[in-house]
Amino acid sequence: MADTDTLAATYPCLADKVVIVTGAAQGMGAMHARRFVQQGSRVVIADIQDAPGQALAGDLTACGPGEAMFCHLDVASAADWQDLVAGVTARWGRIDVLVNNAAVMAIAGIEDETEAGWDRIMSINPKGSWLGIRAVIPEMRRLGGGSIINIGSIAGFVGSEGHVGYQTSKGAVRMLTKNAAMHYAPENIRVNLVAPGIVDTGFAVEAGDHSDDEYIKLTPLGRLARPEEISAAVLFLASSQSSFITGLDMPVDGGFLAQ
Amino acid sequence: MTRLTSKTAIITGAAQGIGAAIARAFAAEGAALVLTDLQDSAGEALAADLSATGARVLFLHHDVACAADWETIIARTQEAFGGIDILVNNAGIGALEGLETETEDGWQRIVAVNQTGTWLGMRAAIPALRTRGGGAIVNLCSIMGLTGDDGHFAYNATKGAIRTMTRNAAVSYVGDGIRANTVCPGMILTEMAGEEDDETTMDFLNLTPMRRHGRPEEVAMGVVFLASDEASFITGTDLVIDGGYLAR
Ligand SMILES: NC(=O)c1ccc[n+]([C@@H]2O[C@H](COP(=O)([O-])OP(=O)(O)OC[C@H]3O[C@@H](n4cnc5c(N)ncnc54)[C@H](O)[C@@H]3O)[C@@H](O)[C@H]2O)c1
Ligand SMILES: NC(=O)c1ccc[n+]([C@@H]2O[C@H](COP(=O)([O-])OP(=O)(O)OC[C@H]3O[C@@H](n4cnc5c(N)ncnc54)[C@H](O)[C@@H]3O)[C@@H](O)[C@H]2O)c1
Repeated sequence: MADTDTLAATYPCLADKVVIVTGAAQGMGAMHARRFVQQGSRVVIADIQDAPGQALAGDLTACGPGEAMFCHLDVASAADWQDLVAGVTARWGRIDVLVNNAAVMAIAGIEDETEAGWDRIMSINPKGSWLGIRAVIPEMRRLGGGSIINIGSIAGFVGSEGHVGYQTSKGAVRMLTKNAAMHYAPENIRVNLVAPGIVDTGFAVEAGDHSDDEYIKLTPLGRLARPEEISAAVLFLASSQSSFITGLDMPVDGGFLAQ
Repeated sequence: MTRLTSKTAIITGAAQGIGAAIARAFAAEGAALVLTDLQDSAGEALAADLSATGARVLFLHHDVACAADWETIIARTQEAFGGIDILVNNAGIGALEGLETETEDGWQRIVAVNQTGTWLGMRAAIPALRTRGGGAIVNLCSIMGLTGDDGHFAYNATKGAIRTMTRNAAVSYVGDGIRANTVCPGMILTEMAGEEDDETTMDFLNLTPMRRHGRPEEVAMGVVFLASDEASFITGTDLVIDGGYLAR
């Protein structure tokens, strides 16, 4: 079993790489940022939550060996993306990896969902990921390659009750991944999807969904994922060890989709 | 590189190609290794090579289609290294014939090696993995286990079977702490795949968005990832390493 405090894998290729993680102020995104800094990467923590994002950037930089900075970003805003890319390239001169992690969740079903609710989730989950890819491509092209990791969900693969907006949005992120993978493969920009099962971040439970116990029953492995288990897949896909992998769906789901 | 330190792995079909690359990558990550193959001299040479770099490694003659051979492999591995943590079912053979031209003998042979061999390996290793409190199985499948090929009928069939057998094992043994996943390579430059510029490989290349063949080492790194504790929440899935072939 992976130890929470030690680093299982070392990826020397990630040292000094510039990595943008959206929605990194808390939850899984914060763990991805931590793991990248532990590899020596320079990490942009991009989120709408300024105070926790700034605090995390300070904390990670103090721990090293990489460093982190916080940038305010609403992923649904093209203007914010422009500012972010300009700020990052001004400070660090390159962008190697983008992790589209920010997302919102809603439990409403087809008849309960509102137009405002639907539009909000679509503007953040798939549109935010599209805007992010569009914004970083020129820098990755200039560098002769890059790696983009979109965070999907098992909810983008199989149906459940309710969650119509969330499921549709995560299905869209999955297909966005394949489209971008196809489009940019000749330029050595790889685009892959990590699809978590239920992770111990409170994301699903806080949205008013099932309890942890109910989720554990649905997961063959009999427990929730730890955020660092999702990070391990993200780091592998960001690294040169996955150099022939693009357009992949990588479920990290304790067997959820296998049954 | 210590991702597999204190783990013991069996890798079948390790004398050449992808299997040999997996053996090298596992040795670099600190695993103790049992390499098996029908080809003794190439297998022994690789084992000697890896031993010289300080790896703990043993080569054993093995026909994966033979249940008795598997008994011996498991027993010898336990004797040498005290247990088994990882099984990589990599040995496999190709088939050129299409649905109408395939012969019963040809079919039997490829099913025996690719499909039955993978089952026999899991059946033989699972008790040992269970005794250890868990472990990882990685089965070499192919993009041709996930989609249709033109011709290569029996190969296509056995690789599809490997995919569902792996899911069955994942679901059946999750309670024993055993994870089971496939790695599905696209066109990788080995002897099985043929020469770089022959017609089939060129056709493939044109269908591969990254516009190049994969290298055996690129497949090996995926196997390392799935076999290691980094993949502790990953079971019953397919790690496709294909330069985007299936994303089309
Ligand atoms: N937790 C789970 O069980 C689970 C399961 C499957 C997939 N996921 C996915 O994993 C990712 C992370 O989930 P989490 O559990 O860490 O969630 P979380 O709610 O803990 O964190 C999400 C972060 O995204 C930020 N964010 C929200 N809207 C934003 C916007 N418009 N612009 C920028 N940042 C924004 C939030 O401020 C927050 O910091 C999400 O994509 C989620 O869909 C989570
Ligand atoms: N090369 C590719 O493009 C490619 C693509 C997808 C999947 N694969 C799969 O990857 C695996 C390895 O392929 P490769 O390209 O390295 O092939 P390869 O032919 O170079 O090597 C296969 C090895 O397996 C051994 N072997 C064959 N039958 C055996 C038996 N009955 N018992 C024990 N060993 C046996 C052979 O002696 C050989 O050393 C196979 O399962 C193959 O189907 C390969």
